[in-house]
Order: sequence, then C-alpha cells, then structure tokens
Amino acid sequence: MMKGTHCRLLALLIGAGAGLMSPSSVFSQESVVVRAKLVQGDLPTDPTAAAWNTLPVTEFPLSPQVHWQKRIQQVTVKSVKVRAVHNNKQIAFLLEYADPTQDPADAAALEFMVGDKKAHFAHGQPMGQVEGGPVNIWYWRNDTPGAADMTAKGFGTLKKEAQQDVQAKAVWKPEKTKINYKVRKIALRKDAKGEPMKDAKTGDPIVDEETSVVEEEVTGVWRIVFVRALTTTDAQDAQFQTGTFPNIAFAVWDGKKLESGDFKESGSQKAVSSWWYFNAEPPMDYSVYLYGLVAVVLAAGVEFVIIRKVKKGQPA
Amino acid sequence: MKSSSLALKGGILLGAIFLFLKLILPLFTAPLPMSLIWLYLFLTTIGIIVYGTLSGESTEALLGPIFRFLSGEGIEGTTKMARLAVLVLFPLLVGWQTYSGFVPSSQPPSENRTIHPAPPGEFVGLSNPVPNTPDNVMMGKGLYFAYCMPCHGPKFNGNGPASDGFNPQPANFSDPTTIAMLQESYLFWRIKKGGVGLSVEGHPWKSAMPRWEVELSDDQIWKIIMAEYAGAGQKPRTWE
Amino acid sequence: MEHRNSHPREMRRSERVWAYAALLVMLVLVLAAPLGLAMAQEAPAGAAVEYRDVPGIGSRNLIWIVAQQHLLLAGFVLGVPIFAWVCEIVGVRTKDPRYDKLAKEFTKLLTSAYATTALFGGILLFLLIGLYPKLMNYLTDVFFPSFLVYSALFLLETATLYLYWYGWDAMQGRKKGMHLFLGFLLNVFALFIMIVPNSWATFQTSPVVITESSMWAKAWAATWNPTWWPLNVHRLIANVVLGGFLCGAYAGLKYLMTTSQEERVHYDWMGYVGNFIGVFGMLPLPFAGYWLMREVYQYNQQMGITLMGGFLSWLFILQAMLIGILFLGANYYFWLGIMYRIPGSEPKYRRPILIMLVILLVCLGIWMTPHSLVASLEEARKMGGTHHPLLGVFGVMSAKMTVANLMILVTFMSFIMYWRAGKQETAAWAKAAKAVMGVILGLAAIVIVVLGVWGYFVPAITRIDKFSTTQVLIVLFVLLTVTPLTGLLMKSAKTTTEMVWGVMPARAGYALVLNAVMVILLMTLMGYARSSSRVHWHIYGVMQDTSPYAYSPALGYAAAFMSLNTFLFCLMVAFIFWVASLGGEKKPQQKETRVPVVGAGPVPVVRQ
Repeated sequence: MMKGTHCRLLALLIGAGAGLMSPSSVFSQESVVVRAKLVQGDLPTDPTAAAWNTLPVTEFPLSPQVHWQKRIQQVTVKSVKVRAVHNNKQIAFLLEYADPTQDPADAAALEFMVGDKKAHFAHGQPMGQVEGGPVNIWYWRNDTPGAADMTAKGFGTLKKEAQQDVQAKAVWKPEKTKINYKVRKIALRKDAKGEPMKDAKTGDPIVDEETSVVEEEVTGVWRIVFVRALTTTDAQDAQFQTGTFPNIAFAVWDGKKLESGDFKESGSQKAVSSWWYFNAEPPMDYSVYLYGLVAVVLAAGVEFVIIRKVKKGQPA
Repeated sequence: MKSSSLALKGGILLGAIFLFLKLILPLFTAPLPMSLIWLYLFLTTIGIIVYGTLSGESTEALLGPIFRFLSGEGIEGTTKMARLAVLVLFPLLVGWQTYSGFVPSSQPPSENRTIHPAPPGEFVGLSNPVPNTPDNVMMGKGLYFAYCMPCHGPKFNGNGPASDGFNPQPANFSDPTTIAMLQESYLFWRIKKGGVGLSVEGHPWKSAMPRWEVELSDDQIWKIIMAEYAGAGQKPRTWE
Repeated sequence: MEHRNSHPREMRRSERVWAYAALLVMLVLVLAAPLGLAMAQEAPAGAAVEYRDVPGIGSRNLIWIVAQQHLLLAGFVLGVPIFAWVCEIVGVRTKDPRYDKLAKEFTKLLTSAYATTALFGGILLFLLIGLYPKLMNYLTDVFFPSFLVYSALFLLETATLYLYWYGWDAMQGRKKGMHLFLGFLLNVFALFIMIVPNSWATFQTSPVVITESSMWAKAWAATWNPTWWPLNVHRLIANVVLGGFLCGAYAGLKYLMTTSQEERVHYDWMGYVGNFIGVFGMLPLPFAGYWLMREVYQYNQQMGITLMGGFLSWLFILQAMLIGILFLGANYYFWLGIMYRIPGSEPKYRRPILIMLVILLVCLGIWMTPHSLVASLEEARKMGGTHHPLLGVFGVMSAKMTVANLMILVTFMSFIMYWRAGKQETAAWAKAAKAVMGVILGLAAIVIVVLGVWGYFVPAITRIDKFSTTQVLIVLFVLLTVTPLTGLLMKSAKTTTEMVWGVMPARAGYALVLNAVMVILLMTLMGYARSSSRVHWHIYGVMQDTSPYAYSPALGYAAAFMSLNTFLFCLMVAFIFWVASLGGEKKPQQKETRVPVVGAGPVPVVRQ
C-alpha cells in the first residue's frame, strides 16, 4: 500500500496520472439537487404521464443501511432516479428505479428535515454534540393504497402523523433497464505461470480483493409519484419555500419473499441515501431583468468616464 | 515591439492558465473547483501587475497598449473592431453578472465542512493498549472486513461496494492526508462515536459512519485501528 | 537651539494629546451608558455577579474591540522604540545625521501613541472588571503580585519615555551616551511591560496547576506557563514588524502628500528603512509562530487540532493569503527600489526578478490551497469528496512549511540583490565569495524542497522534530552566512551607480501603506485564532465560560470584526500621525543646516 502512496506523489511531481487512482462514484451524473420545475395548472399525478419525460432527472446512488445493527451488505436497488415538479401550491416527486420483481412488500420513502434544526438522515437519530431536529418521512408500500405521512426523531420513534397530507401512486412495468453497481471481487493472486502465489511466511495463498463495477440488465421498473401541498398546517411536516435548498434523502425496500419466509429487505434492511438537496423553482421575479438593465447602464457609464479619462490623460 | 507585447503576453498567460486548469488538468485528475481556479488566476493577475509595473518603461508596456486600445487612438482594422466589441460586451457582461447574481440560484450553497474537528477531551492522547502483534493486526483485519470494508473498501481507499450512497464519501485511508495525519486516539474517537459524535463544524447529520461503541468493544476498535494503518500502509501520528 | 524654544510647543502638543484622550473617554462613557443601565438591573447587592452585559453590542464584542485596539497600539508603542533606538545607535556609529532625525521622528509618534495605548488599557481593565467579574476575580487571585509589578513598570516606562523624548536635543553631544542608555532602559521596561500581561493571556490558554502557596510563588508559577515564552518571542518580533511597516506607511503617505523634493528624499529614505525593518522582522516571524503552535500542540492536542485542523484552520488559509500579499508587497518595494533608485539597472535585474516573482507566486499558490476545498457539492462530487486527489497534497503542513521557507529565502535574496545593486565588488576573493553564496542558496533551496517532499513519507513526529526544524535551521544558516559575507563584500565594493532618492513612483508609497494594513489585518486575524482556540473556556480546562457568549463566532462574522478593528486602528493611527505632525506645521521653510556642536558626538540636524 505504501507503494500506492509513492506512486501518488510521483504522479504529483510529474503532474499527471494521480487522478486515475482516486476512487470515484459509479454514477457520473453531476447533479446533487432534485430540481422541481414550476408549471401552471395541475401536476402529473400519474407515474406514467408523458409530462414527466420533459422534466430534468437526477440520479442518486443508494447504499445498504448501516446504522441499525440488523444490516445487510447487498441491496437490490442500486440507485434511484428522481424528478419533481410544482405549481406553487402542490409538489410532486417521481421516483424511478429498477426492481426485477413486483412484490406486495415493495416500498419506497422520501425523507426531509423539519424546522430549522439539522436532523440526522438515519431517522433523525440523536447526535452527540449537536441538538438535532425531527424528520418527516413519506412512505409508500405496494400493498397499501396511498402513502403514510410519518415523523421520527431517533430510532424506534417512527410513527404515523395524526394529520395525513401525502398521496402516492405507483406503477410497476416489466421494462428492460441497465444498472451499474460496485461489488467486492476476490481473486487468488497468480504468478507469471498462472500458479496461485503463496505467502512466504505462512504459506497461505495470497488473496487480492478489490471493488469493481459490474453492469447488469434488469427487467422491471417501479415508478412512484408522491404529491403534497408545498406547505401544510401540520407542525410535524416539512414545509417548502420556493427558492430554498431543503435536504432530501431516499430509501427503498425490495419486498421479495425469500424461501425462508422472510422478506429480502424490510424494516432497517433497506437501500438508503444520505442527505442531498431539493429545490423548488421560485416564480419568475421580473425585477431581476431591471437590475440587469441598470447594471448595463451603470457599466456603460463607468466605461464612458474611464475612456474619457484615458483619452485626456494618455499616460506616457 | 516590446511595448505592445507585455499586455498581450499577460492576457495570453491568463487565458492559457485558465484553459490548463479548466480543460487540460481534468484529463489527468479530478476537475478543480472554481474557487481554486479563481484563486490561481488571481495570483497570476497579481504577478502580471507586479512584473508589469516594475519600471516606468514596463508600466507603459503593460498599461500603454490597454489605454491605447481603450482610447481608440491610432488603431484601425480588426483592432478597431475588437475595441468596439469589448466596449459593447463589457456592459453586457456586467449586466449578465448582475442578472445571474440576483436570479435565484439552482446551485446549493457551498459547504465548508471541517474534516478533522477537534475530539472531545476524553479522547485526546489515548494510546493503543493492544500490542501491535501480527496476530492482533490479523484479528483487526478480520473485524475490518466484517464491519468496515463495505464502505471503506477492501483496499482501504474508501471505495467499498456500499460507498456510493453516502455523502460525504467514506474516508480513503490510503490517502497520506487522512489517517496518517491523525493519532490513533483520533481514530478511536471517530470509530467509537461515529458520524453522529462529530461537533457542529463536522456536520454530524451528514456522516453515515455508525456509532460502533454499540456493537464493538474498545479492544476490537483498537485492533481495527491497527489493521487500518497496516492495510493502508500508513503510520499513525505520534508526539513522542 | 531647538531644545530651548521647543518646550512650549511640546507642551501644546501633549495638551492636544490629552484633549484627544479626554474626548475618547467621553465617547466611551457615552457608549458605556447603557452599561450602567444593565448594571442597575443586577441581582441584589451582595450576590456574586458572574457576568454583566452591554445591550446592543454585547459584552464580548465590546471587549473584543477594545482589547484589539489596545493590543495593536501596544504593539506599535513597543515596536517603535526598538528601532528608534537602533536607528539612534546607527546614527552615532555612522555619524549620519539622517538616522538621528529618523529616530527622533519615530519617537515623536511614540509620545502621542503611548497615551492612547494607556488609555485603551485603562478602558479594557474597567470593562473586564465590570463585564467579567468572575474571571477577573480568579485572575486577580492568581496574578495580584504581577499587577503590582506591572504598575511599577508602567511608572518606570512613562518616566523613561518622557525623559527620552524631551531630552533628545538636550542630550546630544557629550550626553548622547546617556540618551542611548535611556533608550536601552526604555526598551527593557517595554519588554517587561509586554511579557507581564502576556503571562495573564497565556495562562488563560495554557494554565498550569497551581498549588496553594505564597502569593508570589503562585503568581510566579502561573507566569511560567508553557506558551508564555513562545508568545513573548512571537509578539516581540511581530511588534518590530508592525512598527516597521507602520513607519513605512507613515513615510509612504508623507511621500505621496509632500511637494517638496527635499522631503520626498527624506520620506523615500524613511520608507525604505521602515520596510527594511519590517522585512527583517518578518523573516524569523514564521519560525516563532511555528514554535508557538508546537507548544500549543504539546500542551493540549485538542486545542492544536481546533486551531490547525478544526474550524479555525480556515483562518490559516486567510493568514497565508495576507502573509503572501505582505511578502509580495515587501519584495515589490525592494524591486521598485532597484529599478528606480539605481538608474539603468532594469536590463540587468528584470530576469532575476521575474524568476523570484514566479517562485513567490507558486509558493503562495501552494500555501493558499486548502486541504479541504471550498467547493459546491457538485464539484465535490466530481472530485470524490472535498479533498482533491492531486492538489489535496498541498493542503498539509509539509507543503506549507516548505513553501514558507522558500518564500523567506526569496525575500532574503531580494534584499541581498538590493544591497548589491549599483555596486562593484573590488575584493580579490569576490568571485569565490559570490560562488559560495550561490551554492549555499541553491543547496538550501534544494534541501528544503527535498525535505518537504520526503516529509510525506515519514511519521509526523519525525517531520515535525527533524525535517521542519532542519528546514528552519537551513534558512537561518543562509541568513547568518550570506548576510555577513555580503556585508564584507560591500565594505570594499565601490559604488558604480549612486542611489537616487525621492524618485520612487507613487505605487511604491501605496505598497508601503498596503503592507501596513496587511500586518494589522494579520494581527487581528491571528489574535482571533489565539483567543478562539480556548473555545468555551475563559481559562482552558479550569474556568468555563458560562456567559451567553460562550460560542465561537462564525468566521464571516469574525472577519467583519477583524476588518472593523483594522479600520478603527488605521483611523486612530492616522489621527496620531496627524497629531504628531501638528507641532511641525507652524515652522516656516524647513531648511536643514548643519551646525557644528561642541563635542565628539554626531552632528545633529537643526531646523531654523
């Protein structure tokens, strides 16, 4: 490993190459924000509505949940594509992800911080040195119509709110789609002749491990739409002002039933993301053009004065 | 013609550095954030001004062409057109900047996250009580692969199979500026208390690092620390 | 003779100083009026009050401003006598009356600044007693004997200063030796006046365990705390730097404003001396700062991490920027000096200057590249975190130490180049000496870079204890060998081109002013860092801050205060300069004539 460090610095010195050795995400998309466009009229509440196709999409990778003790190391859903749209009254999110099986216990959720206090993305669990706030979770499950509007502040505190404000609608289609994800690859180190190499001291075979990216074709896509008013009267809800950057996180469960009778993923065993951003496009404020125009005029004025000065007192 | 070249050379230098940082460097490594590119351009500009104003003659060589260009005296042809273009474009550029300054941004705010905030007093200066023997390192590696590898990766470089969903990404131990800069006691704190144990400036709400004290004994944590240094080819920082 | 008729004028000047002081007191009283209100609402008499607050501005902010102003003024008041005295000695040794005149002019600035410093000290004390009684009780309990010592020192310092200033002309000639001794005493008292309060401040940062014993033993033990001497040395050098650059700025402003060629010559030269002293102090300053940081780390690593790796680490990037501009400004002034004061030197020096400039800028670029970058989240995602895989390497101490050392070397080379410009060595061994110097410089630079790169591959402790120290020793070695060698060379050199004074362009004056502002900003910045490193403690680990202000202000907020403090101090310094200039205004033409004076002393300059 020390060699890697040396190489790295050597690369620095010759000014090239080091970047190739740094880890990077499988997902090359650049955005970290779910951008909700502002539209006039009704929002597309149907997951298959054509209107969704015109909206910008942001893809977020998911990882197995690691905070609860009953964690798993592999999850079915590797990433989720998100679109959003609002009409200044309501907001709609579309989640889209590959899941090869349609199961009654398939589920997905959005999570937001509530109020001014920062909340931990794992159900707003308490933080050591920072006083955190609660989170608002919008939960959809295939065998339950609609969505659950939930609140949590710490593990084991998740509960349905008294006032339910979120609607959801989902559709599964057997579409073909390609997914990329990282896997741990284990290989025996071989010498030039192809013989497995052995550790000089212990005599054990030397095992190389690395993370590699694999591509897979999956048949089956879930599309889920969540709809809620931008602001509600419920103090337990996240409230959205246009133009701001609230945090958003995602979770997905593959509810496939295993032969043992357990679900493949349920409860704390799920695919999650940590916090990203969400932004509801603010209505156009035309005074911005005015400011721009004033700046043009001012700049032209300053330019005029400078040139006059330059013309008058041409420096030697 | 020396007198006209300094301003031109300066402009070309600035452009070349910008292109290098923005377009050529990313071919070899990760792209630079704009804040850094501006910083380097700012330094270059200072350099051009300092060098250009060293003597009366060089000041003329630097500013003279600029002034002559602006005043429009004694220039013609394409230069004249260029002058006109600059004079028209400048106010428009200012207007555009103002507009984009006022128009609501679709970029989230920058984050000045402090990667290594100070640990609480009780974690300062602890030394690893577990003897650094091959057996203990081996046991540490076993624990590492069971608990840490999914995120921090089999090669200790933060590139584990489960590393993608989290922001910030798991730490890369093989980077000489991470654990090699820290004492073992610092790692002990980070592992034991996890992301949620960070102070405000460390943005604890963002870190996915579990609070391992729930599941691992102190002894196991110290062994994992040993394994991490050994596996990443780094040495812990010491004071004595 | 001046000393006869100068007396009434001096009286008037000091009266003005006191009128100015009275004005400030009134201003403070007006500001402090709400304070009385706050105190009136206090708990019943007899109950121990821990904190009082000032509505609006807040007690901490008020202390912040007053303490910072006091400290900056004090830095000036302690830094100026050091080189006023050195200038006086140089004047006696070289018999060049310019130096004596310069020393006197500096000392003139001192008298009005001294009163203001004391005034702010007094205000600070009253505010501390009023606003932080709990803390002040504790500190008084520990340090009462040193309060007494401090008061005594103050009396001595005041007496010496006034004797030094008012006796300047009276003690020319045969009594010059006595005047020099007064200057020496002044500096000794000034040093102690600085290091006694330093013990109070450093005790707050790094308190030592105090066992119950006699009053004096307790104070003595608390005084010798781990960061006391590092801070003493750091502040002493920094005060010289501040004094030098402030006097440079004074000369620069005067240079810009005057129309008389004679004065231009004088202030050009004065600006050169000020800049020289500032640079001279600046070269060892980073080492002193490094020592202080090291002691902080050793005293308490948590505090060290808060400063260097935690939320205060951003300050060190700002610091790099300010120091970088300071180095650039000081070098720029040297280079302008070569170009303008030595006619015909441009073709010869353009290329070396360009090389030095590029090295300085590359070093500065590395120094200013933070470890974790300011990046939008999207940029961070593309980089794979806020560490850049390539440039993140620049973000650690090994790189910073290396470039800081290189910048010091380059600045030193600028100075040597300036020194040698326009002169032709005559010594037979000149060629060999120049070759040796070249080899020393080249080798030093190479070794520093090699150690810097190697520093990534050794344990931190080896880097800190061996490599960094070696780098510093190498730079010091270069300074201590090349300077005397050049001095010897120049002694026998013949001047080929005479220096022309008073022909510097206006931008040289602005560069001097800019340097002074940078130094002040740096002091406000690092003062904030030093205070904030205690986080929520008044006395680290001993007495917790339980006031509503027990949090570290955000960096942006702090930066606003630093700028405010810098601005206020600049205003005050401008005022002091103006007050100091009032005395001279009524004089008619300032023609200098040299009147021989009985005795073997230097020739004084007398204005008629």
